[in-house]
Amino acid sequence: MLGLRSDLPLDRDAAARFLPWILGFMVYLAALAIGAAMVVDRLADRWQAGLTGNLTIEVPFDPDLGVTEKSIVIDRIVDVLSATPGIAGTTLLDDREIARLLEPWLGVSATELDIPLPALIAVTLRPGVVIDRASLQAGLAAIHPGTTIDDHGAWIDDALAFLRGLNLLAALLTGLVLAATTLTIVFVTRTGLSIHRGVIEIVHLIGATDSYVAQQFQAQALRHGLVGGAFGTLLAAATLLGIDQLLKQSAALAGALPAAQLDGLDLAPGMGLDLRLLPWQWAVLALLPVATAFIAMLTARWTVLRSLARLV
Amino acid sequence: MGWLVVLFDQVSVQYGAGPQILRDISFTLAPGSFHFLVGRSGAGKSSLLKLMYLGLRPSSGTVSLFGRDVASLSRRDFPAIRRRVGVVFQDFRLIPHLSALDNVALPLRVAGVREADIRRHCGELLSWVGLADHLGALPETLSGGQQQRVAIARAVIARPNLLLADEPTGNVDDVIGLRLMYLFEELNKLGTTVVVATHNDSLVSRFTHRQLRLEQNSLRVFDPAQPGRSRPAAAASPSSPGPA
Repeated sequence: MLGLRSDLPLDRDAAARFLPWILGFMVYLAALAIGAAMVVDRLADRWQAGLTGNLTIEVPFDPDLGVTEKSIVIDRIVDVLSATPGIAGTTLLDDREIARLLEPWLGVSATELDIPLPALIAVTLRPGVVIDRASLQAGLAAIHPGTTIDDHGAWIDDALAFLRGLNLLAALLTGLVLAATTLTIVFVTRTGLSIHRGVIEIVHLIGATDSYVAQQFQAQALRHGLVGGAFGTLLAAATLLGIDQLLKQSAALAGALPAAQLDGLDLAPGMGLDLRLLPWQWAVLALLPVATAFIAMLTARWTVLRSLARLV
Repeated sequence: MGWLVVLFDQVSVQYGAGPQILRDISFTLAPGSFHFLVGRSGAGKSSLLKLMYLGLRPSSGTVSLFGRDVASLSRRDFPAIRRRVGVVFQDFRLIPHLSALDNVALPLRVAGVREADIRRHCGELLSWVGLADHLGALPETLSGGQQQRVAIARAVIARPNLLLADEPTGNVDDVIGLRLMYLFEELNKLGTTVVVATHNDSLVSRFTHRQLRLEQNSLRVFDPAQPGRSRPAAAASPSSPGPA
C-alpha cells in the first residue's frame, strides 16, 4: 500500500502537494491540545492528592490576649487533634511561615503590620481516613470560640472545575482539528477524482473495481498522513519541551534558584506547573502520526467509494 | 460455453433528445467468432462497441453479455464483465504518465496478477508488436502507430473472451496493420470472439470474416463466403479465420 507505483499521478496535483504540510499543522495543533490536556490531568491529580490529605485549623486570637493564654489554648487544641482518630500529625506554623503565606496579599512585611494574625495548625490525615468534621469542629470551638477547620474543599472544587474546563477546551480543539483534517482530505480526494476523471474511466473500462481506484487514493493519504503526522508531532514535542524549559527558567529567576535544582520539583510550590509528560503520555503523542495516517486513509477511501458509487 | 458472447435484441441508442444513433439493432455473436464492423463515419460503430464494453446503456432493447442481461447488472458486476472484454479504443486512451509496459500491464494489475508474471508477459507481448525497445517510453514520446500497438497489446494481454477494436489499424502502415490483424486471428483461434470496427475496405476485403454493416442506423450481416447475400442481422456463428 505504501508502494510508489500508482496508476494515477496523484502526487502531481497541486492540492495534494500541500496536504502533508496541512496535515502537519493540524497534527501540531492536536498534539499541543492533547499534550496540554495530559499536563492538566496530572496537575489536577497532584493538587487533589496534595490537598485532600490535609486540614488547616485557624485559631483567631484577641490582640489583647497574652502569650501564655494563647499557648494554653493552642496546646489544648493540639491535644484534641492528636487524640482524634485519623489524624496523623499536627504542625503549628510559626510567624515566618504565616508571613510567607500572606505575602501575596499583604507584602513582605506582613508580620510587622499591626493586625491580629490567627494561629494556623497544619493537620495531616491518615490516607483513606474520613474524620467526623462536624464533631471535631464543635470540640475545637468549645475550647476556643471562632476556631475553624479549612479542608480546602471549596478551593479544590474551583480549581478542579477550572482544570476540567481546560480539558474540555483541549478536547474541543482536538475535535475541531480532526474535523478540519477530515474535510481537507475529503476536499483533496474529490479534487483528485475530478482531475483524474479521464484516467479513472479508462481504469474502470479495463476492469478495475472502485476499491482498486480507492486504493490509489488511500495509499497517498496514508503516506501524507504519516509524513505530516510525524512532522507535526515532532514540532509539538519540541514546543512542549521548550515551554517547559522556559517555565523552569522563569521560576528559577523568580526564586533565585538555579534551574537544575528545580528538576523533579514543582516549579511553584503548591501549584505544580510542571509541563513534563510521563513516558506513557509521550507514547500517546507518538501514536498521533499513525492515527492521522489511519484517519486520512479511511477518509480517502470512503470519499472515493462514495463518489464513484454516484457515477452510475 | 453454452451462452452467446453478445446478444442484442431490438437495441436503440439515442443521446438525450437527439436523433437515434442506433435503431432496433438485433444480432448475436457466438463464442470464437470473428466479425468486422463496417460502416461510414458516424454510422454508430463506436456506439455499438460502447454498448458491448459497458460504456453505454441502451435507450431501449436488451443487451446481454456472456449470458447476462446488462440491465440486471449492478455496478459491482461491471468489473468482472469488463475483465473479459479487451478494448482497443480509437483514440488509444493510454494513460499518459505510465510507461508503455505499465499501460499494457494495467489489465493484469487490476486482476491481481503477480508482478513478476506481469513483467514477463508484458515484455514478451510488447516485443511481439515491435516495441521491445520502448518498454519504458511514455506515450507522448511514441508515434501514433506505436501508441496504437501499445493500446492493442493492453487490450489483448489478459486474453479476453471478447476483443473489441475500434479502427485498430488506422495509424499504422499496411505491413504493421496486417501483422496486428494476424495477432487478432491468433487470439481468435484460441477462442476469443473478435469484433474489428473499421472503414478500411481494402483491409476487410483481404479476409473472409463476416461483416456487420451499419447502414442508416440499422445493422445487416454480410458473409463474404456467400457474396450477394446480405441479410438483417441474426445469430452469427464462428467463422473460419484467415486472409482471403
